Amino acid sequence: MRERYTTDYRQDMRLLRTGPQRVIAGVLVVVALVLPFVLELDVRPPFGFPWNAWSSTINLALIAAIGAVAFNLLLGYTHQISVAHAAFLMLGTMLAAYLGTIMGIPFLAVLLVSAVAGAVVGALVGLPALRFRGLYLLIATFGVHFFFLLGYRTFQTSLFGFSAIRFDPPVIGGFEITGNFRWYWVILPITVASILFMVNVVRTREGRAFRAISQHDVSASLIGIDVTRTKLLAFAVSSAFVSLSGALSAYYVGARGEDSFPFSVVLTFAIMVIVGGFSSTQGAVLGTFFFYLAPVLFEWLRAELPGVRSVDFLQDYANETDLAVFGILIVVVLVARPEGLAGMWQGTKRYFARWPFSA
Amino acid sequence: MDLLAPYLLTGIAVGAIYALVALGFVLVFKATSVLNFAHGSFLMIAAYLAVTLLVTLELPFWAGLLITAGTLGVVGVVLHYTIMRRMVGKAFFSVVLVTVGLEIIIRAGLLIAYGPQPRGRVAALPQGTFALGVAQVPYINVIIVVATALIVAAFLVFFRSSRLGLHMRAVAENLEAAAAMGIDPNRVYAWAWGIGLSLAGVGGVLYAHYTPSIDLELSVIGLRAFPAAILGGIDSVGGAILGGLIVGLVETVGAGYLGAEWRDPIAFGIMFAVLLWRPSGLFGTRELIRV
Repeated sequence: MRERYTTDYRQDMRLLRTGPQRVIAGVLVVVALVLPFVLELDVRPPFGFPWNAWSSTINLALIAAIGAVAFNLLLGYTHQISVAHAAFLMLGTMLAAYLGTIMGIPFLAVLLVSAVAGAVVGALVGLPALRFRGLYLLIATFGVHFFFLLGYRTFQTSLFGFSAIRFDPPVIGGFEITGNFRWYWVILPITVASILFMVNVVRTREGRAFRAISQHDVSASLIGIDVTRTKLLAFAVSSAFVSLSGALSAYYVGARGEDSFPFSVVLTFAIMVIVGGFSSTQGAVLGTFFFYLAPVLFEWLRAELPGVRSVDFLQDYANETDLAVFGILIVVVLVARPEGLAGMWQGTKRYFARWPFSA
Repeated sequence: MDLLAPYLLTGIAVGAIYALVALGFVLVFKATSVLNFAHGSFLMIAAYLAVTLLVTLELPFWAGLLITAGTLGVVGVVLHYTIMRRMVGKAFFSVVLVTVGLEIIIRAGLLIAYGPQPRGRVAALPQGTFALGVAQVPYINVIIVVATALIVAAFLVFFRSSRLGLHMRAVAENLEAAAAMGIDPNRVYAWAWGIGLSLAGVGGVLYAHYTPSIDLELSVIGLRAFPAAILGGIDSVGGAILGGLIVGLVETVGAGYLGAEWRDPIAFGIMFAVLLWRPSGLFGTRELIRV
């Protein structure tokens, strides 16, 4: 590859700067377009690799990727340690329930409204960020989560009683969206558009302001950045997309209950972002796919690999060992490779780029 | 008015347990700057150990308590030397997530060892109540309060008077200066983890007698450490104790009058109010920002 580095300013401003980046983007586009058809094929791969189980996992991962990139926008780029993430998922779910299920408003309109509402509420939730930073902001948003949880539970029990909230399959342009195949074609453009939007936000002047206040917000105010406006903007943009992904996920999964949003939801997103690679969109997406695909892989390895299958302990305690391995993997990645999966990928690229001087 | 007295008395017992939890949490935070999100899980381990030692093996209460506290202390030391030592100096949130990973592992381990069925509470302490004025006070509550008071007093004496306590306070105040004076930070961190977790262990054993059922949701008690620690001041050991007591009292009395689902909002409402009014809490150090 000749064009490995950027050589002029205009090239540097593009989204896909170098030749290799364009190639990878092209490959990803082809894979993304072909994948659902491939997954539908009736193939019998060796070792019973669960060919068809991937569809739902990939759909879930795509939806979660929106949330993870939004979380990264706040946590990685602006260093606002906010754990109110699940609160906005709840907001999106409540809006989808009220507008979609009760009032019958069409799917795409509901998504739009949930994004706008997420932005407005996000700016409100961001107000504590003006007063606290770091640890105290984490704790303040921790409290926000529990308040939203109370509101969500009240909402659910008053409007839906004790059963779960059900979401009917949306109808877009006459097509009813059921089944993983159709959902994929709805979810993929929404995910790609959202992530592109957020990546572009980071490339603008506002995005640079985000990074400035992430370093040191007092100093940033000294060079003329309106810290209040920037912080609230960061919260608004991030929360808009989280709310969107909450509504989308509510429709996809089809049902939400009282216990759908424990605090551990926020921690799973934090795992996705940080194990993926702190403060990079690439890391957030990698982390999301790792989080969703790893359990499927574990499951397959345990069930089919000849050596592993015969260990009774692992079969009897299937879920528990899955959980344990997952936890161990998180700890190992964080301790051994703090820069995360994205860092490992960059390190691999560097190794090959600099070979034989790779040390 | 005659509902208030029983609530107050229960609240003191609840507050005592919160104080123990918060104390262990703040000790670890003050010494190592690690927010241990898995603190509740260690308490859960202790509760399950209490089930094994006191119910299955029918050991006497004191033996069970000492073994549990000791085991968790060892776990804390091992935890530091194997994992936490490598995370010193790394990004704050990464360290927090390591504790989250630990919580997942602990949960899986407890599921394997004990199964998902909830257990009944442990009954190794005298059951029954006695009359105090108009209220019936369970013996267990009194024992919890007395035990907590003794342990907290012992800890404070240790912290203020012993050499190790002095080293811990020195490391918490200024790590480099302490290291320059010849204090080994690793040793201090290991001791902080060990003592912090064994305090969680004691809390777990006591809580196993108080809670109606022992199941895998017990770790949410660990989240109570946050409001208590914030109220007291997140880097103040004495504040954590007081914060725990106050949160326990207010939460129990409030939930008694308003309903049980208000426990969480009241506790976190206190936390929010403290953050708005005085983020450093009652006894914490105020944060200065230097450009």
